[in-house]
Amino acid sequence: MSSSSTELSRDDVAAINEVCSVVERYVSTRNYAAWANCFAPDAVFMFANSPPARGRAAIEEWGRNGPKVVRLTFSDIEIHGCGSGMAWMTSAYQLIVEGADAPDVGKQLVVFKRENDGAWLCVACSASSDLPPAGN
Amino acid sequence: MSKNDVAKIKTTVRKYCAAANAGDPDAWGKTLDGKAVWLPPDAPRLVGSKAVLAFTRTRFFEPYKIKLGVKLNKVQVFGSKAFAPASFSLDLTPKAGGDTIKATGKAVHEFRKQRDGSWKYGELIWNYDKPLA
Repeated sequence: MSSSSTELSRDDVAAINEVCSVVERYVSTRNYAAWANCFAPDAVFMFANSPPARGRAAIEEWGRNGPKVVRLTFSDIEIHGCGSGMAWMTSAYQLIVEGADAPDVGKQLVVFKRENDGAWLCVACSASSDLPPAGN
Repeated sequence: MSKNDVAKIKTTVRKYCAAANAGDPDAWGKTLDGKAVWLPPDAPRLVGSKAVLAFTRTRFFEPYKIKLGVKLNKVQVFGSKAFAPASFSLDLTPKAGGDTIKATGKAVHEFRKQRDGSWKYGELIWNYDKPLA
């Protein structure tokens, strides 16, 4: 399920939704090199309880050293355009990790930029769990 | 990109921090767009400035004396919307007594231009660099 503003074409919305699907697939298969290529070269990735990762190499490294993902899925995707080839997306996520008693569920905000070839790349992504910290 | 818009956005962020540091939730709430969406760590998504303010009163203003600093890394303005990744420092001193919790973190801010030309917070997601002690 996704919604969008009128400032984006149908093709743009479809392309951003496809990026979301691709990210789900790459992370779920732990293909972090491919995942990092969904980001712009100077992008920043902000996950909870770790410093920000800046640039594709750092983002790929974060993935390799991060939680051992079994499956990542997005839902409630909302895509908004703001002109000049920029868009932002919010969604819920569910992250199943090896050894965890239950999936992590949370939300994310992703800012996208359209490249000259029409591809949309993530320039900033931040994700936060909905769940209280372990031990609370 | 208008330098004037960027300056106004930075003014909003200064007011946001000043109100937090003064323990003034009403002034803090005035920096939010009415349809603001908050994506806080360790809690569900909040929609609307009333819900955001209620959450922030309960979670931050009532139990703690706040010392907040926000550094916008790069403000990008696109018409009536703007984005800025940011870093922040947050000290929370329990009003009931106890040690100050010191945290650093990062955020993505989305700002919305208002009819009067000012800018307010639209969407904000943030998290901490380490689990809160």
